[in-house]
Amino acid sequence: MHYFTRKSIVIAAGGVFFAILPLLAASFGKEYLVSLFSRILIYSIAAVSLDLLLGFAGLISLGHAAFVGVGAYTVGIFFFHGFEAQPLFGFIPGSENGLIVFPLAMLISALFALIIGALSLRTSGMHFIMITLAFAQMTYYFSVGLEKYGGDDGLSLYSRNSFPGLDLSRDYHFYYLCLILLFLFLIFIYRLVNSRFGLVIRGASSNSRRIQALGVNPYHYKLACFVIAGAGAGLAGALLANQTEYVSPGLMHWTVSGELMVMVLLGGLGTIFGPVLGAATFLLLEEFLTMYTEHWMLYMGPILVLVVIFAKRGVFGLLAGLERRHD
Amino acid sequence: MTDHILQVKALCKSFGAVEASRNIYFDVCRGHIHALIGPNGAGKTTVLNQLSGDILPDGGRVIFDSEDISRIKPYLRAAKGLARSFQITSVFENLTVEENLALSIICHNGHNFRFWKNCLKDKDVQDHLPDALMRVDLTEKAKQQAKYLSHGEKRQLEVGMALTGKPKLLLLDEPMAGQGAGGTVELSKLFQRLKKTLTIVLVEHDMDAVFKLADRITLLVYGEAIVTGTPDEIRQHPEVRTAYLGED
Ligand SMILES: Nc1ncnc2c1ncn2[C@@H]1O[C@H](COP(=O)(O)OP(=O)(O)OP(=O)(O)O)[C@@H](O)[C@H]1O
Ligand SMILES: [Mg+2]
Repeated sequence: MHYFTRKSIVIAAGGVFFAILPLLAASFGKEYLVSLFSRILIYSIAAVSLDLLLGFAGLISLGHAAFVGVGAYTVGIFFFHGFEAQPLFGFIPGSENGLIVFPLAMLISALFALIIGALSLRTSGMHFIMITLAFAQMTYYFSVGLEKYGGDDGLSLYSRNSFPGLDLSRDYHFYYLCLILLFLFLIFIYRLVNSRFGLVIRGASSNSRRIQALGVNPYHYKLACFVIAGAGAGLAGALLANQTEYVSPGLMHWTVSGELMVMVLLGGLGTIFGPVLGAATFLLLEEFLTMYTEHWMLYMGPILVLVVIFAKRGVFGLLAGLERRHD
Repeated sequence: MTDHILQVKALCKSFGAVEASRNIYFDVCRGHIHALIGPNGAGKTTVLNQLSGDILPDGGRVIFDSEDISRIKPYLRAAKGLARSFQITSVFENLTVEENLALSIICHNGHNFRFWKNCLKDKDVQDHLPDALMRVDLTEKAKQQAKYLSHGEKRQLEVGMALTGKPKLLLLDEPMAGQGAGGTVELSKLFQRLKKTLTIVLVEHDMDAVFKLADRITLLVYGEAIVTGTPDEIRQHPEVRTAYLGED
């Protein structure tokens, strides 16, 4: 009984859809969809990680793209040093092995999040939004200044990373890698939100004074949350670098952070699975609208306004019924 | 020598021109219910806030279990065994009743950097949650979001949360307010039972309840602690009659 709620049916249907999408694309002869949907899966990971901050920890971060960018640059820089056979800082060998650079991308993004979070979390409200934005812009300009890695122009990878048993140059392999990583990440976040840690996070965002009266300093929990979200964004960045075989400062621009935020709101704030729908809706609309007009944002805007006004839990809330956030 | 769990010495606090606490002294004996009474605006909540750490005093000391806690953060005081309820009900509105109580249970049992296991299946929670719900009579509302509770139920929940940590000292700011007659009786019984295991500082306007429950009473007027004594002494005290009980 419990397993056949409307919500679980929507989630299962979504899972099946993504699992068989490459087959559908092939049978309709539209192979390009595989690469479009890979992109959707990647942005989903980033959006889900942002939902952890926005929807559960109550932390309005407007700099999330910075961590995506750091993850992407990690992959790019390690690839560059491997390709040129010239160790990073003179002693760290480069690598194009996904099993090495993916965890590294997450780790380095997490480190960035630790530093940025440690400082930003001393503020709250409007100040927090502004300071995360400022840090993200600093990271952006820092990457512009990386002359060695192409500066403004960015850095090309000459191939995708290698993974044992996979050939990422084949779009189907790459798609399923993205899907598996998103799946694992969703499970992790789902468990996290319902764990002891998750309860403290949700409590701290609901009533900070109360949680302190219970003997908890919310700072450390929020920081840990920020770091986890940063690592998730780093993973998305590593995948993005592989998909486009190219990294550039543009990945970190604040408009990208804004787009991630839109995906979360569109899909359903605080719903974990919603941001996947949000990313899909956003990127499909973008794809569709840009066929007709350059000013596609002009049409995206009203759609977003309507969703935000009429569907508090976004597209996911519409499909899954207006359930409470935590069940 | 009596065993004082809490000593307040020369507490001073001003908000601009308002002197909300003027050189306040009082001691609370372990195991007592110690009431703070006084007219509206007398400074009762301000005293509680300085005990819990939500407000820092301008001067004076708060000594809890022989340790000066006057300047430490609220969460550190809570960790030392000081729990409170707020005058304006303060629960986790977005969480369910059981999550509210589960949260107060886990906050008092070790660290919470546990990322995987469902919190409601956690051993500490499973051990204590049923009792915690029962104690404040909210078992039937366990799955309901706190924001949909009635005012009285929120109060019960808040008291329940304050109790789950097995605090040594409980600070209650008008727990009876907004409770019907039945609720007041229930809460009185609960406090009476609790007295055996902990100490309570009770701010309350319901004089019947106060005189029945309290072992000691401190009267505050215009930020000053005028007198501390047993209910009988307080009842006889001339200042009480004029200042508070509305007799001339
Ligand atoms: N944060 C604040 N800023 C300015 N003035 C304050 C503040 N908190 C309390 N006061 C003032 O301090 C005085 C004491 O207020 P307090 O809330 O402690 O009274 P109280 O005894 O709890 O009253 P009540 O019975 O109405 O709850 C009042 O004059 C109040 O206006
Ligand atoms: Mg008050």
